[in-house]
Amino acid sequence: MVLNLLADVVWADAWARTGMGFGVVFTVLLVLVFVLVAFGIFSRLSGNKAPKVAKVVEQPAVKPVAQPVASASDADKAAIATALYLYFQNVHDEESNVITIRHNASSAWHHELNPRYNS
Amino acid sequence: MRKIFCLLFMLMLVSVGCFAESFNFGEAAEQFANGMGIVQIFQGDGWKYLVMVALACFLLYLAIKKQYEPLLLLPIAFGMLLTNLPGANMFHTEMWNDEFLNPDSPFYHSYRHVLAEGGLLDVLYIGVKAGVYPCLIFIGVGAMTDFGPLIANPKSFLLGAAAQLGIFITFITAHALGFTSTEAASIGIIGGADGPTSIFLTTKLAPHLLGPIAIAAYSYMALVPVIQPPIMRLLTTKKERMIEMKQLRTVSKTEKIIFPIAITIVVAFILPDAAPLIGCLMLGNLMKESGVVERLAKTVQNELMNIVVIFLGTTVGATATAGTFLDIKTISILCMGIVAFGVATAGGIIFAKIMNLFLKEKINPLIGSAGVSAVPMAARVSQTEGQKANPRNFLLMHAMGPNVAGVIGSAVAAGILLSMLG
Repeated sequence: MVLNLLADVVWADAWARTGMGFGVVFTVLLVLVFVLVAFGIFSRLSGNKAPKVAKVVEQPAVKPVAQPVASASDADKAAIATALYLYFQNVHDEESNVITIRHNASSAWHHELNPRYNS
Repeated sequence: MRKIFCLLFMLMLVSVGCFAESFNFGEAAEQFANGMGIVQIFQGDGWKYLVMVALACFLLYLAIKKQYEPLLLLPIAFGMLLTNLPGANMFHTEMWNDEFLNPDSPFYHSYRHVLAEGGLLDVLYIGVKAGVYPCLIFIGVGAMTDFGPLIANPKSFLLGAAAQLGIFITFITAHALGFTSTEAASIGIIGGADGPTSIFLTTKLAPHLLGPIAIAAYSYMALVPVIQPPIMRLLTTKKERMIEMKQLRTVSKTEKIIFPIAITIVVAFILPDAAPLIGCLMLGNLMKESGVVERLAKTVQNELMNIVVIFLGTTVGATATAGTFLDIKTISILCMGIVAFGVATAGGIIFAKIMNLFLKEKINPLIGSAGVSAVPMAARVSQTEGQKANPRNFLLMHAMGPNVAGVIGSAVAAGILLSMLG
């Protein structure tokens, strides 16, 4: 089949569909951005309320440890980042996977275990 | 024992003698020879079978030796091999094109006829035709995807949207090359870099192009690490590639649970045609994030996904018959597929640069290229390129945001094309 280059194309129609299509995709995803931003704000606000409620309850006078959850999370992230860095740098240790037992005739173990030397 | 053999031999001689009058050995041998696949290759357009078998073997080589998307490319290539074995009749293109899709045929949209008369691959192809397999795959994809980076940085959605430029530029280009609107839309969706979405839309709009489009989509997805880096380096300066991004905030479990429900409702309210794909994607994700249906989540991630991939891959490969595939249209579709990927990559990067004009905290434009779906390969390419420019750069999680946004974006693009042209 020979393609009809630039022939019989209703360009106004094609461009309108292209513009409308891309516009709708962008609009839908923009709406989702707003939904997520609003959701994030709401989530943070509701997240901030929880400690306030907790403050009403009398806590024993123990000095809290500086945010153990946050530090643990950061440690995880650091470990992942380091692992990724090592992976992409190809500096991870590589084992030969060959186990070799070298016989050492002068070793005390050798003499004890080998009956030839004990006789 | 010897007596039994003698008896059998005598029976054989008697039977040959009885049928000798009606049995024409020469005619039977000729009939047998004509039925042989190797003879059919040398008749008429038989050489096309040979080309297709060679192409299938090449794709198998890419899948096995080069490991280019082997999970999909291997069944697709083998399906292509099966369908192009002359005389095997495992898949009947004419049954689908001349009967199932022909309104004048008595078997128009008759699945019963396919079940009664079709071969194995015809029966399995019903799942493709009905748009079931891509949706089932999307459930599995959803169950394997972490939308956390996207929730933490909602701006990523815009990069995912910008990367859909490839779909619409290719749509116009295909129009210019003389393809119909429905064909152009199906070709354009290759730019979404999303195999199931490409198959879903093509089966609805241009089923006769399913073979080349599916093969182009999956082949180019595998070639993302080859196609994207030159475009990324061309469109960014080293200073831009060196930009380090701040650590993303931690996303709560509640946010991760509400996200799939909210996205499904919002998208389906605006664009109902995108609901099957987005709905299935988010269903899988909700199974994973809710944590209450662990068995179901594991099933859709593994068993269901694997079974559907086998069915989908083999049957999609089977649609690439010699008659439909070896056409100048196929070559132009393969060429436009690369254009679509390139433009999509460029769209994401350029939009990230535009965003940087307005943002206080600059983003690394390399994450824009991950807006093409191809999860997680496109994000990995961003990470690799970022680290080449600055070894302290860890862009992977930042790039995963636009990457999963691209999946949603391409599904939305498929929905709008379906609503306009379907």
